Amino acid sequence: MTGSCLSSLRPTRRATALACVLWLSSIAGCESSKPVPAPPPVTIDFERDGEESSGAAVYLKGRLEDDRVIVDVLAREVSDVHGLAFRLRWDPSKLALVEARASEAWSRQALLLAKEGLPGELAVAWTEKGAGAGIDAREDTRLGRITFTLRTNEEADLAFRPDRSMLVDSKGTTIPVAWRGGRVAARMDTGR
Amino acid sequence: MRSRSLLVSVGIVLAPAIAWAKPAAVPAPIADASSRQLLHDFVQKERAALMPLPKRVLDALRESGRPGIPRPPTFRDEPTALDCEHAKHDITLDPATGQTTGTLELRVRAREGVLASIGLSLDEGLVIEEVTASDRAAEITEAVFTPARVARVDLSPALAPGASTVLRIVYSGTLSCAASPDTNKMVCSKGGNFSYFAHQSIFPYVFDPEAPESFALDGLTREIVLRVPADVDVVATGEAVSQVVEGGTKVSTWTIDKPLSRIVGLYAFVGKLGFKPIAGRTVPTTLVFPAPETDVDHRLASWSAPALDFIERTSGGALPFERSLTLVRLPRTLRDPGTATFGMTLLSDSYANAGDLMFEETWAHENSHLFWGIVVPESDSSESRLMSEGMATLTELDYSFERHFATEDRDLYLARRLLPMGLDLRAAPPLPAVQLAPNSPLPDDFRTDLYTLWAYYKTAATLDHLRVSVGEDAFARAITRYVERCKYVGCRPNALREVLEEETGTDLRPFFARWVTGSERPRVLVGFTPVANGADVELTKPDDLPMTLELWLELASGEVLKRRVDLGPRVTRLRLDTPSPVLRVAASPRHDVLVDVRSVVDGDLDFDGETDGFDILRCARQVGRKYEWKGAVGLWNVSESFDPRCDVDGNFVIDDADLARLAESFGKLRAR
Repeated sequence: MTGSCLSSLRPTRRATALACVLWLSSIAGCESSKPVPAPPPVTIDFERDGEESSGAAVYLKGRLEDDRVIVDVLAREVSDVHGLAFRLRWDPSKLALVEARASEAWSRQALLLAKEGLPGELAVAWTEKGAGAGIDAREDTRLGRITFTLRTNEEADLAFRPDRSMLVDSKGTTIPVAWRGGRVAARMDTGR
Repeated sequence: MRSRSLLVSVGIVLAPAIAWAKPAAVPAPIADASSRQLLHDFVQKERAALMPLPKRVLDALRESGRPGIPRPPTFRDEPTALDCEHAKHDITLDPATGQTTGTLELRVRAREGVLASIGLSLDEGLVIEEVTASDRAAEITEAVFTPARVARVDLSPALAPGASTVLRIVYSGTLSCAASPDTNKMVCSKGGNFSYFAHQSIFPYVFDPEAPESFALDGLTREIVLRVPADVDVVATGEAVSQVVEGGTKVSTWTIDKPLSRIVGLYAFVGKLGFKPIAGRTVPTTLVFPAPETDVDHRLASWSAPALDFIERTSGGALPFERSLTLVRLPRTLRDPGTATFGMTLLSDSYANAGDLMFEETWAHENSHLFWGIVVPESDSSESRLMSEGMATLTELDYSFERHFATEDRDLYLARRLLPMGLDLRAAPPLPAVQLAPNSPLPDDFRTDLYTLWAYYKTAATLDHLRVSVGEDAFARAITRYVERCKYVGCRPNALREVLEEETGTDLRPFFARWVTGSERPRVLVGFTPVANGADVELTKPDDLPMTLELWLELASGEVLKRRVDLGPRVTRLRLDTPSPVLRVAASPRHDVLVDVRSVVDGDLDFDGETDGFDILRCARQVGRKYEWKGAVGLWNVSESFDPRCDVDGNFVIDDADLARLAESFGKLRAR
């Protein structure tokens, strides 16, 4: 039943599907014989954790394109990123991994590994090799991009596992950073 | 029994690693050519100490119709018939000219066979004037092999097993103090302010011509009387008994009143000597050096009480010297690296070149030989160096930890110190077992490098692996018992096993079979599954021979639990209870030299059961690093940060191929 709702909504560029689902769930449902008021305009967007926070961080910045969730992995306020390892979790019933690619910030010699080791858990190792210099990420710097497709239009968290995430500089020192994920979220447009 | 300067080279080798280990210190290779030559000089000296008689002398003895002499050295487990019981030396020496007259009264006994002759070696400038035996004829034949005069005294009739006689040997002349054409080293110097007279110069070296390479322990006591001009200072090996001036002669008397091997070195130093009392020692302890005192002497003196206290504390009791203990700073010009002998430790000041950490650690190593090799000898030093060089090397590592690195985790400190040893051992050609089997030859190319690996590194690593396996407390108690059991009489490695078994109630024959009389580095795979309040652990090894490992369980709380577990058959499964969830299960890295412990998950370097970015980042920066084995001098030129686990293919280079191997396994995650 909800599927029919979703399928009819898919062509919209800024999908309102999730909002539809949420909104419909809150009333009797599509199959109700009662007249259904038109849903308020909603959008699906990517919300960052701790968007307003400052300090050294690796964070996600996402957007939706059609049914794709494109998430950039960025670092900031880190002057020397020699290597980055992280684990990212999500609900695989809601998102499907398409690919994870390192950015051009890395050198051609860099070792760039990413694998969905478990359904809904991505292991990433992006690192320079040897004793060379790292990436200057004092300004917001994109280190890679992870692309998903929406499997449903439910809210979906993308969460780092800080216990298995690490950023090291070219001396091999672990640089303390905040690991900030995000979520695919619906936002009702109240018109205000 | 040969403690001599063998001990020194390990200290030389290890100390740079200490310096490198200091936090924030940048590894600074010091393996320049001169350093390397220094090491090799030391090791050559060490080797020479195992073969007091040069090869050409041995060959000459062989050509004279005597039984064949095995080359290269072979542990033959054949006790010599020579048992030296007591020696009285009375030597008059003019250190300025080298003019010497001497008398040696030597009581010898035949043991386990007929003793037909006795060999002597002394400076070529000294002529043997007379040899008599108390109850039989003694005939002497001799030859000069510069710088030594080598003599054989034939007894007629030969001594029957158990019989003894007293030989009286009178010699005189002027010391040549010539350099050996084999080593370019001298065993004496004369005419200087700090004249040096070692074994085979004024003190004849005694050996069995039928078994000139035998180092089977005998128990020899000595009295030494030295007569020198009244206006010079003198010290000699042994405890100081008396010193008087008679006319223009200073007469000093020294005693070695505990039974020692006949090959333990004897030394006399004569001239303008500096003396610095060591505070804080009950037994009068004095640092002796060429006057005037220098800063090096000040430092050596400051390290002496801590080193001696540490050694006594960790070796089961007080050193047995009651009258005196003499510590000697050898000037580098003598080109003698140092040694330890009865009541006397000697060390060359050339060690100061490599920094105080190294110098102090070597000082501890050398002094530890007062126990390990002197008071507590091995039954036959050609069979094993486990309880001499091995214990001395272990002692120096422990000493430096306590003195300089006590704020670190001790296990990690020791693992770091052992790591380059392990790399050297793996890079080297296969070495014999720590304890040689009877008649097992050392490799034909058993040169100094491999000797160092075998005598120092392999032994120390084995002992540390053993003490982790049985537990530190049990090991310490067993060492105390070993000292009580073996002092002055000598023991074979089995004695260590026996006292450890008594302490632990554990059958350690499998350990000794695998790592002492055998030579293995078995692979053990570690796997685990977290469960509520613990982990199910599975350990897999390639055989059924038992072993014990100390497992480290890292918990979510941050705590690391360390538990010894016994591995029986090939696969051992056990449940380990813990107060919080288990994140990692690994073995103590102190096992690493002798056990190839790996995660059951390929590429899982941190033993969490997964291969993720942590494993990759550990190795990415290592790409390009090489471990270059340059003949057991690895600690001179290899940073301890070379991570063998990143060298996946084991070729001592961490390169793209290794990372590619790790990448193959990347992303193996544990199911949630």
